[in-house]
Amino acid sequence: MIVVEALEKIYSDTLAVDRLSFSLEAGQICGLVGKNGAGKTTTMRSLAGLVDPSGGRLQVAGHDVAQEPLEVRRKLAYVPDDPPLFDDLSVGQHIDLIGGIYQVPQFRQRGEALLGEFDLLDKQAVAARALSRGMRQKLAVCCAYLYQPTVILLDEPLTGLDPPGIRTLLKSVRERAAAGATIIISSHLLAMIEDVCTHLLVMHEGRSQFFGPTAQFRQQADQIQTLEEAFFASTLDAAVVEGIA
Amino acid sequence: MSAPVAVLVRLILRQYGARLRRTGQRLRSPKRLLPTILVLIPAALWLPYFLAAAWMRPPADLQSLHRWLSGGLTLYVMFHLVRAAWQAPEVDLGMSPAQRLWLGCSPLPRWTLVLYKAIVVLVPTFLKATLLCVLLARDTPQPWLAAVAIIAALLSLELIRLLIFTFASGLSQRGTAWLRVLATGMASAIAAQVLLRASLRWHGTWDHTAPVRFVMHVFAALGETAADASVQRLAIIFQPFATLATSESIVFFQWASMLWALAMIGGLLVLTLRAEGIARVGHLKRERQRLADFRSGRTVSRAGQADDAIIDRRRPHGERLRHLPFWGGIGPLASRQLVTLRRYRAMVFVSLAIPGVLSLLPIWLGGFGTGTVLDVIGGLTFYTLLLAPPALKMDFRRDIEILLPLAALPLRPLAMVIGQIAVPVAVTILFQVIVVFIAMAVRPVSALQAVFWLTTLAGTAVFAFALENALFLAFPHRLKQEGIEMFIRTKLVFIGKGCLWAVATAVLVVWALFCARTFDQPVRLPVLAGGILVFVWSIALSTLGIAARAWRRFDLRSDLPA
Repeated sequence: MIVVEALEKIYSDTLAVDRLSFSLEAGQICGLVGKNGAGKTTTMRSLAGLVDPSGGRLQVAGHDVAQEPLEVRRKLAYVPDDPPLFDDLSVGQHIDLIGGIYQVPQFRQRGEALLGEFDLLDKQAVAARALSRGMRQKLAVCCAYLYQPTVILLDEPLTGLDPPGIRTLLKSVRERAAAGATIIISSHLLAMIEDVCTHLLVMHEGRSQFFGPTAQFRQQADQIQTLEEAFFASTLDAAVVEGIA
Repeated sequence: MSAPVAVLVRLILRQYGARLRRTGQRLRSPKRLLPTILVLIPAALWLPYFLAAAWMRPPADLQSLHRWLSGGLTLYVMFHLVRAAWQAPEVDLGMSPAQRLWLGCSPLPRWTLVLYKAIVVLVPTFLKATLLCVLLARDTPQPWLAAVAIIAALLSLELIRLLIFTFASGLSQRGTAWLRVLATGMASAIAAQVLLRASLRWHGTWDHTAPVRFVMHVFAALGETAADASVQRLAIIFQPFATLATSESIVFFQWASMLWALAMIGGLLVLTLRAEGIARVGHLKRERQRLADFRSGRTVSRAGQADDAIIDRRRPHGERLRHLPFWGGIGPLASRQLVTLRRYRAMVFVSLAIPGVLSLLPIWLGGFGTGTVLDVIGGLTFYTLLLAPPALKMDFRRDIEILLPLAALPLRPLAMVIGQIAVPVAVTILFQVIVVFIAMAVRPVSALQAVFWLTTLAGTAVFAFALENALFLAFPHRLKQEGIEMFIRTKLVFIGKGCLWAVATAVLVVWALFCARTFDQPVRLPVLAGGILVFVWSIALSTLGIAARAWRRFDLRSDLPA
């Protein structure tokens, strides 16, 4: 479903992603973790077609991102951190817009179901500008789920969500993966996502430090119990890890 | 209409509807009601005058009108070329983050997004075209034909702007440098032609009517330049629009012109798409070159690390900033604005150099008149009030995205406003001092006079920026915001400023007459000058207080524009 081969991205004076390769199958959920500036968002944006990679090849749902961008966009949903919305439009109008763009049959019913799931049903007439950070995040996720994409990229989706919202989102992620979607979640809240992710991609300074099943990541060192500890072990100096232990 | 286009049209209609409703609600809100009424009253008086002036003047001959229209549109294209050369590149068709995510990242074909950008500007284009049609109704034989031509021409102009900015966004550093040379060279040649023509038209001495006469000459010179053969050769693509606007009946040539207009709009859409493709390829090519440089061991940093060479280059500026004292919080705010000034220094220089030269014209036209430092001061006051605020947007207007953190700072509203406008005011005062000193070198005046004028001008600088920021905080907008509300806002602000200018002139005249009749010679001048200083500075400080009040009352939950 997702194939990344030697992805490279360079900004004016920074190499953001350096020969990154990984692949994910249908139904897999990959946690994308790393320090700030590790290249997580750039990787997601490259997959979404929002930035052109400087090098490498990307495939989403069997389509080449550079060669067949429209096919990729039909099958992919990307929800960035603090998603920008049309501040003039209401919650319901956002659903209408996305339903119209993706030609979703019966999008109103489906939209209402999603808004109900994320506790936004009574906000349908509220303008996006009046929504809290968490509500904006939920609305963006509803819009992304509306057209049932086969690949979902969620960048820091838990930031700003209340505990019920986090639970709903993680449950929805599991359900969509079970239905065959491939999902990448980038998050710093490792404890929150560790039970959801089947795979893990740890990035450091634009490179992959680890890619594989989550269980394998934990097994790398005997004394490591949590994903958080494993993350520190793979990205920080040994001295820092000792300090934490 | 295809399904994607219908969706985009619905989006635009909903956005316009929501904005109109919101604008209406905001104008009716208690804190904006008074300034709105204060501006609407003169606007209501001005509109019949505008209509009467447009209808009662003698009609222009059709040949001249034809040339003015096509030449005027060409000059406007050159203006956009200069902007594109010097402004920050407008990538991704200038879409907002929301548009980029939900439209740019969707399966909508790219051409529909270019069309979307064109449809967004249709409403303001209709409004501008309406104004122009009213203005030209006396001259055009078939007003409805002129309306079609003007709407199509303005829409084409907007698409050309999009094309130019898209093209410029894909240029390399060297390409941008060449574009700057080309655009600035063309603009300078046009400006030189206009000034030369205005100078050649000039007769008589520089008296109290001279500024008005000079402005009229400049407009006439602008018309002559637009009608000039060199500009007309460049204006060939706009000839059919001008032909249509000045036609008396519809025959074959008019139908052909209409077809040309349609073809041009379609062609511009295609060209913009092509330019975007070329820009992307160019970017990618340069990126790959940088990547190759990195692989070969040249300087590029890794993710999360800054290049040492870049840190070295940035450090001295950061060190200079820390030297500003705290001054109740004004210092740090001004330091931040200095960073913005540093970034836009070339733009600021060009924006102020042109009015500087124009202000000095009364003296440089010495062979034709007897301009004095007073004439230069008049010009400077005019440009300070009219041109300095748009040229130096280093205040609340550029900080629209970070008003929340600004509001969270532990600063009193007055300190906040002073800190925000300190740098643009200081730059404007520096500009005034330089121009006045050049004028004094040619026409020497006493030091006391110079101090008086500079102190008065400094007051106008404080007033101009305090007023601009007070208006912005009462009626906020984004820097590159377009649409019907911006169109109406610009017109009303212009009328409001014009009224203030007229009232200030009237007050000064009354004060001068009062001093002349009441006081004898030894005390007359000091009282007159003292009164002017008190008047100017009390207005400036009051406006500063109003801006501080507007900042205190700024509601981050509801006042931020979409």
